[in-house]
Amino acid sequence: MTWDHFIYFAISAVLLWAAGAFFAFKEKKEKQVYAFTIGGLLVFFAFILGLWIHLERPPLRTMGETRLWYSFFLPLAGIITYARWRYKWILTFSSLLALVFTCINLFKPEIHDKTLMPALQSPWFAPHVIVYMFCYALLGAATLVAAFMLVKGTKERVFALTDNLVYVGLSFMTIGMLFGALWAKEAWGHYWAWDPKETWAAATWFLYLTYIHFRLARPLRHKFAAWLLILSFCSLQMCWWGINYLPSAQGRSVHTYNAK
Amino acid sequence: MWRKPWTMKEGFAIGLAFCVVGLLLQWGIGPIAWSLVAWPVNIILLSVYLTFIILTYALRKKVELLRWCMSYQAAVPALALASVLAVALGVMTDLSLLSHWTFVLIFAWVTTILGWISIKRIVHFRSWKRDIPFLLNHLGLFIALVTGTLGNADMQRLHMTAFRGQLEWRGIDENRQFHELPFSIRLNHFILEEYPPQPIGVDEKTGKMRYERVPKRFASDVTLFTSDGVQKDDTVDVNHPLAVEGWKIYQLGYDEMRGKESEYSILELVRDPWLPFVYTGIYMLITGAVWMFLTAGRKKKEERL
Repeated sequence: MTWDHFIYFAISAVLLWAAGAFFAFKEKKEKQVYAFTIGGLLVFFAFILGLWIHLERPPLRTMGETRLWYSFFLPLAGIITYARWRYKWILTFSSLLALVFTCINLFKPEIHDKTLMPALQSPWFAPHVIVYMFCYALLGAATLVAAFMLVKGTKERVFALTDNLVYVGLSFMTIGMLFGALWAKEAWGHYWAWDPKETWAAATWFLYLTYIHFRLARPLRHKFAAWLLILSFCSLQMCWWGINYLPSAQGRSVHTYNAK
Repeated sequence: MWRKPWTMKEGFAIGLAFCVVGLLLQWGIGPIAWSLVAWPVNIILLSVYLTFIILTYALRKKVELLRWCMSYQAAVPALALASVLAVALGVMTDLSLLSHWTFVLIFAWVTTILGWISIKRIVHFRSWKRDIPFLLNHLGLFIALVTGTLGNADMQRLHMTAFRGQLEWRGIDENRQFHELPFSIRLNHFILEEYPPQPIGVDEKTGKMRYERVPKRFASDVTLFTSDGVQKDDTVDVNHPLAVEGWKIYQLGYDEMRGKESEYSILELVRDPWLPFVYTGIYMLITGAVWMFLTAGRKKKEERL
């Protein structure tokens, strides 16, 4: 299976996710919600698995490949949130965001060769990136909810969901970062090197910590908290791909693999 | 501002004062030379630092400032400034963050707050459900940051060029100084596996196809001779370092011009005696993060009850 087959899987998965999101708004249609969303996830994962086999390495190296996981984890995070807290609109959010990233991959896939340099051939590689992608998905959903509240007005119940998403997202971010540190010790001899991406990851981690402590210090300052969340997500985007365009990161980051 | 009780505003003012002091120190005495805190200075510093945290904690009932330091009001500005400074100094400039006084002062402020609130939780331990995750996250980060920073000066990183068939027991540090090791290494065989060559275009001069050769694996077959007379054959692979007598041996490079025919292999040797303490902190943080993921959303309900 190659990127040429992606469009068929992508369209089927997105349609299934849309159906799941639609049924979430209907009363007593929970079975359909789960069936369609999980069906979409299975279709999408089948493609990832096929690509994995075709490439003879985990598809986690290029930007296009990480976006693939991101599109997969968004509805997964959505359905877990739905199962746990029953927010009916969360699946609409997650499906829309997954659609955006699927479309980017369809129009600008950034396909690269099969090679995987020795430093990346590690059992830490897959968990490090997958955990981070899941974290990005959760925090992306939290940011969308915050932006939605800034437009429509804040509600305590909805803010509780945002906090839950941030707590779960931050725990995954911590795990992803520390897996990276443990891997770096095995691959490069030191667990932390203040590489530009690592520095930005630390700054982003501190920003999300600022958010959760701010929520505890000033629980009623909803608007400021929502803006803080949006700012933190911008920092996360910098860390994920923005750093590749930063002049100071060129050539001295161990995290820029897809630069030609 | 400055009317009691203090809020976050005072926190930002204190943080900015730290920044100004940091800039003056940077300008006055230059970057922090961490090599000066090498053993046994770091263990003395650590004892003094821990004593300072415990003594100030004991004074908290008399000094309102210390009680404020242990509140969310102090945590938020400290974390926000740490984030801003990490980006401003770390990404925008070429300086190493930990050699910059401004960052280190804010970093020390965050760490000290972590120390105080960790003691507070231990002293006022009520329920494991509430306090164990809190301590895993906060005390774990405290341990990792403090031991990682103070232990950095004791870390040795040497490069060794091992020629095939020759015994080597010296490593070279970043200042081009030789160091003798307690063991020796003999390179028996250098291994290089490559991906199938990828065509990358036509050479304009010769008109022939040019191919890109990407290494798939490179490794060294070595024999180790330890100080107690033991002889051991092993392989050093990228991502699979060898551990011997407190040192770790990493595969770093080779003669890239000659590829498979490389006569030597470049190894990196690392000794980090503080690593077990840093790892204790890291594993506490990982456990705390897993715990946070499993219990997110339940905390609020309990608080309401």
